[in-house]
Amino acid sequence: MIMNKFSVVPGIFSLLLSGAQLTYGQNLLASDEAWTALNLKVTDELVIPGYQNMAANSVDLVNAAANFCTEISAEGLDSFKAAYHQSMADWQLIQHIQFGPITYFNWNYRLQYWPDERGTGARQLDALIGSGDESVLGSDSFARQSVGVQGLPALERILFDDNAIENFQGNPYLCLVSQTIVRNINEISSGVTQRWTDEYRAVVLDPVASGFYENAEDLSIDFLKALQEAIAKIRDLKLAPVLGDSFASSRNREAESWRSGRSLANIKINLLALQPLFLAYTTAFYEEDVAAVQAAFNDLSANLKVLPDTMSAALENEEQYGRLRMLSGQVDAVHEALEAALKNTDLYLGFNSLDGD
Amino acid sequence: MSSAKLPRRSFLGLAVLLAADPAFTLGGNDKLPVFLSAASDREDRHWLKAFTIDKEQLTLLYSHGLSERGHAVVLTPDSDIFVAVARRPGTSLVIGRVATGEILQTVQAPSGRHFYGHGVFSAAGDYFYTTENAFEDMQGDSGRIGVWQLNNSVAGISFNRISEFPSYGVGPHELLMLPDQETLVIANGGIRTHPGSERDMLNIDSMQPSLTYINRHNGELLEQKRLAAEFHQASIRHMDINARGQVALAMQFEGEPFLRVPLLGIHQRGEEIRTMLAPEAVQSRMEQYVGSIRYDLSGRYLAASCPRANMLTFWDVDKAEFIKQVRARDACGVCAYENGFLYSAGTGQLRYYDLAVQSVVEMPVSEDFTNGLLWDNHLVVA
Repeated sequence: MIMNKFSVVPGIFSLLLSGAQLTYGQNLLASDEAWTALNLKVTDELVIPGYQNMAANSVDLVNAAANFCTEISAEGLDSFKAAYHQSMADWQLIQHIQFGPITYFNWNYRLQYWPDERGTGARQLDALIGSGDESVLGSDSFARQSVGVQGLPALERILFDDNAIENFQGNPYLCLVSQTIVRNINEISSGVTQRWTDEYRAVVLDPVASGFYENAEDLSIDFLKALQEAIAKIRDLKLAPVLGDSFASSRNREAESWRSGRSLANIKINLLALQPLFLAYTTAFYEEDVAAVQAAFNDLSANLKVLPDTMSAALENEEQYGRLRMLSGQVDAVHEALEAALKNTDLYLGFNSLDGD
Repeated sequence: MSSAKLPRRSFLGLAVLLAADPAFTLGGNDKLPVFLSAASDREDRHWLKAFTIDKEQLTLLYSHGLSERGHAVVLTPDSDIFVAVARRPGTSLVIGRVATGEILQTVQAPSGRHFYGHGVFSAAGDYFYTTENAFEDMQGDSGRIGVWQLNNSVAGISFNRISEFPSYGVGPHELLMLPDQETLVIANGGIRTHPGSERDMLNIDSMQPSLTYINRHNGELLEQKRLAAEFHQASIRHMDINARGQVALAMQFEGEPFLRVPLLGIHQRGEEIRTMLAPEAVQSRMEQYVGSIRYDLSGRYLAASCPRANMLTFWDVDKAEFIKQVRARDACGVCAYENGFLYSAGTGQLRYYDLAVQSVVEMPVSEDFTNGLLWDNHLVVA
């Protein structure tokens, strides 16, 4: 199992474990201070450690790239691929946070431009590699290149090509591009970490003073929206296009990270992040709603455990496909349960924003 | 890390003046305003709601259940009659009397047509025009302008379909009457949909939105303008018009989320569309989506709601520039009122933005009629 190779932020596990002991509230939290306490806990135990983890491990990615490019070898490529796997695992733990510093400078899209329905990233990466132009590889100029060539999917395309070794041996520019991409991943993850630590944590502490939020509950809604949208993303982008209408029309190549064979590993890691995020806010929901969401999460987790990490393995036969389809239904059940829980409070996620015209 | 310029955090300050403020004298006129909006509730029931500001408080006037989700409510120029227009792909128009709330008639779109949630009356209130989809035409310009005739007397009304024109595009959304009262301006959003495909957008790669002017009597095409080719995925969806005939446009961009694309524009007949961008720190947060746009009563300032970004933005058209943004969770409906704008949100909240002091006023509610209510996209005042 790919999962076992990766370290997971200790703070995330501690919150997952402590979540079971949280007292379930009957209604919304009464004070701004109470909301801020939850937001701060999420910030300090889930968000900032997630980014710190990614930034720290991205140094290993930079080193793995440097080592490989010093002496191109199959072993070096394996190490480079392992470092890529770790960075993608780190990103999957924090991918759901789509507000705050990750949105600055298109950092989110520059880290991972996916799904790429038109194949833009591939075309632009091919064009870049074909150009051999070293002048675009500096930090400033590379930041202005297409988002499709800058992040993890571009690196995956290079590393997991069937002829990767030969490609690297035949074109020294490929190493320069790869080293630029990993430097970019390091710079972005460090930048996001710094912005959260230096700036956005202060917004969490005093959301009204920041001008971005009406009150602390308003900021909690951004976290809960991140949770709900991430679950919808798993269902609608990570699973539905792969499943198609039937086993015969299923498509492995629609999956996230299919080249590196970690599509379902990504979803497993997403769940490791999303369930604790929900658990952090249980006091804001009715007890029976919390139980329903938890039950839905547990069903999902149980099924995920018996699924492989690669999507292609899960699509090998109809029986496995059936399990994958069941997984999609279980993700939807989490979404439904969470939506019902939200509707029973005043934590609206957005009527016009989700379904405007 | 990149040395690209860091976004300057424009902490523009969200001043919420609380309802208890005794200096708050909104709605002090003799004639009470009537605000109308479609809304839904948590049980997914749909409503037409009317409320007023009486003794400085918001008070519900009447409430009618709708058979399907509404979108905009349209008034005759004398504010006697309202029409609640069904949201895409709905097919009903509910016609009633503004002052009393009496429902006078409900009509259906002709076979093979559905509405897009918007309509507009002629100056005399005797003709009503709707944007429609001739949805079985999956190849050509399937947008239509439905023409309806209203006979309104003390004995009652009759409201009948009399003809239709092409909209000269696909997916027409909001339409308005120019001050000459002879010309309709249509926002052809460019997006092809079919009621059989739920709300899927079927032509995102090839969409060609346009701003289209037609003669309201015979449907003759008078002028058609498009955005620059690189912005062809910016669906021109909502508009407002001021007394000078200047049309303000609001777009919803369907292309790549990381591209910086103008979401607002201004157009005067015979000229090119002028687009407006907010400063980067605001523009990048607008989530490529403006939900509703309205001029203030002076016709100089615009409010543009960004419900996906939980933000309301304000613009000065004389200077063609952004003024300010305020946090407004799920706010979409907006209408000019007194010295600013009243706006509504999917959270049930109703608030007033005062242009003079550039701050938000939380509205006192006389009874809890907004509780659990989700205000839909548009708000209008009679």
